[in-house]
Amino acid sequence: MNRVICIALFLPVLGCHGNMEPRTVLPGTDSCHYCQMTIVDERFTTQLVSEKGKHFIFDDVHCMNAFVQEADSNSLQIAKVYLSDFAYPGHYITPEKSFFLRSDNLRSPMGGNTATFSEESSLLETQVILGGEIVSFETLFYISP
Amino acid sequence: MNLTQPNKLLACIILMVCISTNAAVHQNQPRVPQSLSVQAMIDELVPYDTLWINGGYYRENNILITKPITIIGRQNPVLDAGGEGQVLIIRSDDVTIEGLTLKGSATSNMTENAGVKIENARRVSIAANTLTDNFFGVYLSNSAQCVVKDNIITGGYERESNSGNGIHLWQCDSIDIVNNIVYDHRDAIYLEFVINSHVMGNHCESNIRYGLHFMFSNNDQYRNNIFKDNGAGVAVMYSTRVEMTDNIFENNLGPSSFGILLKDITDSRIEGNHLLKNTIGIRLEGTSRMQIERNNMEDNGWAVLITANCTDNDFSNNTFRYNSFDVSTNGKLVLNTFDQNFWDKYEGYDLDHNGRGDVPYHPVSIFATVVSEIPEAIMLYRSFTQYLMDKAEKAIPSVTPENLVDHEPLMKPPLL
Repeated sequence: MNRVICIALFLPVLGCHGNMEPRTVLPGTDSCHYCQMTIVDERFTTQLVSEKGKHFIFDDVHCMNAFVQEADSNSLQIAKVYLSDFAYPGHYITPEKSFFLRSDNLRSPMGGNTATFSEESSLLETQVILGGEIVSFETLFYISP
Repeated sequence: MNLTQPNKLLACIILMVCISTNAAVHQNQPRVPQSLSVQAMIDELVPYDTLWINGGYYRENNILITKPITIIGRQNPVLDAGGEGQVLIIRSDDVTIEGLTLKGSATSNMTENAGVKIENARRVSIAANTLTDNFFGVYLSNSAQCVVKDNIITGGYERESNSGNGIHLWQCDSIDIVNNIVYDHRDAIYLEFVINSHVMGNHCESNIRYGLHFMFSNNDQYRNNIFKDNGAGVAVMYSTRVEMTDNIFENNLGPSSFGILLKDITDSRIEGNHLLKNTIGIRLEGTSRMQIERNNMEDNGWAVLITANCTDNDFSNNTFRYNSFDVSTNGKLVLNTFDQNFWDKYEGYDLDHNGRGDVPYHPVSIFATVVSEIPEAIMLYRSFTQYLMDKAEKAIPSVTPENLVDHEPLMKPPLL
């Protein structure tokens, strides 16, 4: 019985640690944490989750990079990075399992011009239409996932 | 009835005239029957011809114009792409499109389909057309000396965040965007890498994001426009030498809504504008050497929100009235001047009657600073707590920047 009460008491404390899952982005309502622009094109949206569980939403890879570069690395510790799947906007995936295409024809909101895919086949389909080069995570980001 | 021979001839002529008024007219001679497609009509033209389309409905997409021609619509001819591809594509200099209704370009993740797409062209004029239910309305890329004038552009309302921009310019030079009405698009007017252009007399209302969006565009002017009820107002980013004069920014309400959002702008002028009922009137971030003069800021949540990394901006002869907070900033360092503005919250006096207050005015209240850090504190707005904080801060300034000050606040609002 005591053990149950102990667990019941501690559960909310654990809950306070924060949700590490990507959060739902509301296009037209949410704005980019870095450039303040309202997010409308969810194909390029990215998210950072800090160690404390705070979510930072960006409208473009470019803004996420700029934010990480400018941020004080002592006060901000990044736990998770999520990127919207270009083929399924609003579906967030982690960089380890992703494929990246950089093409100037993508015209992303802040000129990052990088699309993320969960499937290599959809990347290749897009590359046939828009051109561009396949890039690795390391060349794209200043953060290690 | 028994018709005589001359009467029959007359009837035939009348009939022919009737048909011809309804059909497309080529060089003012009725040659092309209505059943032909617009593309077929265009293919028959020689350069510098004029095609008149009198009414009719054409279900056609990707109509391509590759020679200098003029198309004039009378009695509202409709060109409908029916949700597939684009409506008109112009890839030639000296094209004029007038009086058409263009609708139904497809929403797409890959291509930016438009009502009219103008690519690599000069001296193209798009005037007095109606564009409805298009993904993008008028789309100019890599073009120069074009005019987009007197058009009515409305987006597909049900598509919400999937809709494109009303007038979209990418890498253009010397474009005039005049007297258009843009509703329900993503950004009403969007300029990226656009130089020497004028945006004048447009009316942009209820667009999902910005009424006007400038990115990396230098030496541009926007005047006499009305931006109303847009998701987030107007954004001017990463540009230099932009002139914004005599515009109205109204009713841009929401957590990230601004009358004007300025980010990394230099050497520009904001003059004679009215900023009314916005959550934030002007937000300045990383902005320097701006002249902000003779603007009227009324009924805003914050009139001006200026970050500490802004330098050498000069605010003068502005009117600050009925705003919840006049000015707010996020640091103690202030490298901008705020002299000679009118503040309705100023409680000083003018003993020498020179029209300027004898006591300096500090427009940043401690409560505004608190609210910008902790938005929930707005619950205490107009409470005794707020009054106490503001009075204490006025007596012994500790949090608010001491040098954000108007040394000569005006006693009367300046004439606009």
